[in-house]
Amino acid sequence: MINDSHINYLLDKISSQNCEKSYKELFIAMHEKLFDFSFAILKSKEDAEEVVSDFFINLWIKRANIKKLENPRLYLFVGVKNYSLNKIKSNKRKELPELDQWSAELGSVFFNPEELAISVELTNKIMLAINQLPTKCKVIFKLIKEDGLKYNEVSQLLDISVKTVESQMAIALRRIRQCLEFKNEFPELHSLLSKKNN
Amino acid sequence: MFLHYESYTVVMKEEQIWVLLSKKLLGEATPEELSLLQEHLNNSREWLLAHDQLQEFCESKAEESTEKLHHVEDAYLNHINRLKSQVDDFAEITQNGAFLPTESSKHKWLKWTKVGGIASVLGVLVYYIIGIGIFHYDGIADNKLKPAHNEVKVSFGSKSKIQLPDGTQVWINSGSKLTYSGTFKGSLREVFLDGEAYFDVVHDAERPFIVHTSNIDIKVLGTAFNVKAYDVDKSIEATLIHGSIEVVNRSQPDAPKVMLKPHEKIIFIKNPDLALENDVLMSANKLKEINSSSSILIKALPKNIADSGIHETSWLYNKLIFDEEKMTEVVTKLERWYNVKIQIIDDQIKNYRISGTFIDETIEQALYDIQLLIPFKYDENDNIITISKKK
Repeated sequence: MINDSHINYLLDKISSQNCEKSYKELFIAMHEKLFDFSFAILKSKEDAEEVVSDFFINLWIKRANIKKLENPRLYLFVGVKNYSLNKIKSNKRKELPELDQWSAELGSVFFNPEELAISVELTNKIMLAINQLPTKCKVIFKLIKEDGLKYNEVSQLLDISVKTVESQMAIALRRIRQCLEFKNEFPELHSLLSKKNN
Repeated sequence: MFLHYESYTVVMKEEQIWVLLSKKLLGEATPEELSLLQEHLNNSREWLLAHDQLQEFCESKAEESTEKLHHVEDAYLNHINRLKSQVDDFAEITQNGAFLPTESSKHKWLKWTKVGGIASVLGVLVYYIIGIGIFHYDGIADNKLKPAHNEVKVSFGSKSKIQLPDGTQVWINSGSKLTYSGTFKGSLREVFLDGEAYFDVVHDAERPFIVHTSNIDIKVLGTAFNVKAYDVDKSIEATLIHGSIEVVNRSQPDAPKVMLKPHEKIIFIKNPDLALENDVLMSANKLKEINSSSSILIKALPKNIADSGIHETSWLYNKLIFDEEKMTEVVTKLERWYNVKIQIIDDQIKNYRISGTFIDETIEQALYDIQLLIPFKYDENDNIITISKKK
């Protein structure tokens, strides 16, 4: 995953050298994440695609004003959030929907089942479990695990407390752990052992 | 009552451990939190196991799927089209550093291009003319009236890149026209080229990809190659970068097909009777003749050079290269590259051969550089540069 300092590097190249190659690299690296985020708010692929594109058009137009950022990733997400909000306004709705009303699907597998030696069935089970989490929890999990945002960045982006982010992430990881427990070859033995421990 | 209370505290505690564990695995925990968590892990195999499994899980990254990559590249192309409709300072579509902006040279040279000036200010000039007319193309076996077709025209001084409906990428050089049928469906993927283009063809064994030029057809399954086939030029050239291609001379459909290996180039001379006058043959001592009709020649590219150094595809990297080429050829290339009109009125100058590379020189600089090799003078009148003998 593209890291923050590389995002800053690309932004700087775009800003100071009008570098089209960096512009493309940034677009390619961030498009899916930003698209998914906008889609979570707008629930329309066309609108989300347009929002991300508009945001990047503006980034090019205003490139001379880009300054070195402490949280470049957050800057991109906040930008896309604001553009999504404008989209909602132009669609004559009034405000950002409540987080619970967002749409978030972890469409693809976000880990590597082969590397973890887990079966297709188990992979599906984990994906299902994650996707059955409350929407708010899913949005937060995705932003952190898939999109690389920090807890405090998600708190700023979604306007929620860091405590909320902490507890939602705990819920998500516990759910995944529940699925992974069945990975053990001898679950009976495993549960016996854990009972003994307690 | 007591039991209930007991289990409640356990739940509370567990919640807290989950928060700490999550924070640790996602790199959010403070040193105090880490040591607090470590205590719990040391006292419980169950928690330790959970920690290890989730750690593995959190470090695991999904593989980048090519499908996703294609999707994002499509999104990028759409985005660039939208961007270009709003700004005029984004030059060409970039690909591995190719098509870097050449604004400075373009702007300086507006005076040469008053006629087509407006177009070159806009940068690329790509017309998508969709759904016009009827396909007229002679000599194709299954020549039926084809319905709507797409035509991509790139003006002199510009370059462009498009993606065909099957995902094949095509970079199109100055002054070229690429045509294909609207849907691109059916058992063959066919395009028609007048000009120069580089193709990176998506592999599909079921549906061969065919490039029709004025005289020859190039058939491929999945490969990358360059075709230079301007209708007005005397020869057609195809250079293979990787994969394999098959070349058919349409006037001799029964002749054995010519297969090309990577880093080989085929040169087809349209009118072999004029071969003696033909520029290509004049420099052809390096060429290996393979066809009795002597209209087809195959040449191996120098080995061990990077793709960006290959003369035939140098235009992709914004380089204009001449390799012992006659001034008449050089001038034709300069006209396409800079969108200018150039005429040479001295026969001796026409026959000089020069070598050289231009990267982001303006036409003025380019002419100046050539003057260092060949003494000549030039005038500009009515947008035509006239090269004549120095007196």
